[in-house]
Amino acid sequence: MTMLVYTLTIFALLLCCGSVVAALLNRAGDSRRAFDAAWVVAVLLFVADWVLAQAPPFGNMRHVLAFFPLVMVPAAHYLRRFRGLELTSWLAAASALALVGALCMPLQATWRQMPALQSPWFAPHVIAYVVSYGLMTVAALLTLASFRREEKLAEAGEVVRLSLPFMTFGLWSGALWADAAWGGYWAWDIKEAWSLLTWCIYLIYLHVERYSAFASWRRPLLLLGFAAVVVTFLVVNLLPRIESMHSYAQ
Amino acid sequence: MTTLLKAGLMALGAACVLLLAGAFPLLGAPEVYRSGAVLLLGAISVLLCLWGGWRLATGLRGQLICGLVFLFFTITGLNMLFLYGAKALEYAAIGGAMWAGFVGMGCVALTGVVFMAVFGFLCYRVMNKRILWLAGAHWAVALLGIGAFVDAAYEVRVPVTLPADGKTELTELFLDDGRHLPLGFRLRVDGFTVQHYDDATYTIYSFENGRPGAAQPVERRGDTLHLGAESWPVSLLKSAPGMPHPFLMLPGTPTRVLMQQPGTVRDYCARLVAFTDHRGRPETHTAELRVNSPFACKDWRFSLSSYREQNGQVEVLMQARRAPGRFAALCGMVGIIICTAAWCWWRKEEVA
Repeated sequence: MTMLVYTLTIFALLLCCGSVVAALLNRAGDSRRAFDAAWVVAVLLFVADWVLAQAPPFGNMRHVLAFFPLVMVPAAHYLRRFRGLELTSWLAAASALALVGALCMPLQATWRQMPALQSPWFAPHVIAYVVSYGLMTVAALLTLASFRREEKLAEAGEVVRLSLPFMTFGLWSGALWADAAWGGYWAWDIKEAWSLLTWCIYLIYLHVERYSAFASWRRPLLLLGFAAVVVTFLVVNLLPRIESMHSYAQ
Repeated sequence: MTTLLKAGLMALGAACVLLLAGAFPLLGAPEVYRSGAVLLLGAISVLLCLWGGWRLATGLRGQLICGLVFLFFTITGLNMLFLYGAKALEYAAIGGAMWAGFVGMGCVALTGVVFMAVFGFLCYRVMNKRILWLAGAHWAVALLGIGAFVDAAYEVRVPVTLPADGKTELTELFLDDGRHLPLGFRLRVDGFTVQHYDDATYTIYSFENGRPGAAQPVERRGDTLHLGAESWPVSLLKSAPGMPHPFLMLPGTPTRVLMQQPGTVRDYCARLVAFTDHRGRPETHTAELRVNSPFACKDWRFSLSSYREQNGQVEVLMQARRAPGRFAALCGMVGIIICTAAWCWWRKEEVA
């Protein structure tokens, strides 16, 4: 089963990379097909993780990183159909980054869901954050691309507007959950503080986005927001000297 | 660009700086969050949000207020559906006489659906402009801030340890500053249960001349325990008074004891009994307190934090909390979630 998990992760990663390469070769149809195939593999990976963990597989960083392609593919379809944005390859690139991260994490096959995590808020909270962080990664990649092609900055803004409600839900649903589980909706835990900081940075971006006087702020704010995402998601969890009420996510 | 927006940006920037000061992974100073600077910034932010929401809804303020009231009732309906629907399902699963409860709870849940449908439709019709949702998001932040301020000033949060002996009663809380705070009712823990995952481990402890020797881990295969050529059915292990876990005394010398170490904790639950009075008549409330299911009585909420065993007696660790701003803060959070989503995902500018 362990080999199967690694094989599926590598297979999904190759398909995501294939999607990016196909887009670079101007073969948009192939790019979409490869990304859709990656989604199928990610579903199999999710099922395998669930069987191994005997619980919804959101118990560690590898589980969460391996879940990224599962939400990025529907997001790519949504952006293309309802927002008119063809960002499949960008979402595939973000998924590939997450899968590389998943491969670097140790495979903790068994996972016992501790009592605090046995809540109806658990899955929606984690999934909302995965969607949000994945889309913010895409926004950051588009921001970097906008240094060469200006129009990518507007696309990044569109992706942020799609992503922010997920981040908002993740942040405040976590507070609602904490109110039931920890007896208080806010404890100034380091993960909470960084999540709030990340949210505030994207709020600043949304406030200045429409004003030409602040045009030069957009790129720095989007990159700063993504840096905060990385710290919130990875650094706070992986730095061994940090004590957090969210330490079960390590 | 308006002065209001500039002020809002400055407040958000200041919030980021303060958050960074406290949350820098290794050298941060979390004390900053409880400092006067954060309280002042919070007050400024609340005022800016109230003013910002008011200005954004210029000409549509009546619509905004009605829309937010309708939104509140819609969420109330949703809440009724979930709370009473879950209770109805729980009663249906028990069956028997509980079917009457299932019908009652189910009817309340259906009332919630009607609430949702009626007020959701009204909200949808009234909040028919994107800018109204943006204004609503600002007021929701203000509501959250006001609730948080009330809590910062008046919240009482006390850790409570109560033995699960069915006798010891909690009648008052002891604050850090030495004051006693009467609860206004009596609280007792009548029972405590712990469930474990099926990942128990087994060890054989040897005793020579009454002194403990080496410990040997035992492998479990199905329903049998194996150590070398020896094997024992798991069912032979029994509990006994004074022994913390199931065990089996093995025959022969030296004396050997096969002990089961419990698996990972899956869940724990304390059975609470609260003695209150309603207009002079005594009332008894019983409830199961779990980690994600706090118990509320009068103004107090009790959350289950942990438990410990001392001298064969289980002590339940809880947190008692009285937070007058909690309801406003939670409403603000839900409002932020809904209004932000509606504003960000609104596709056409002015058509509902």
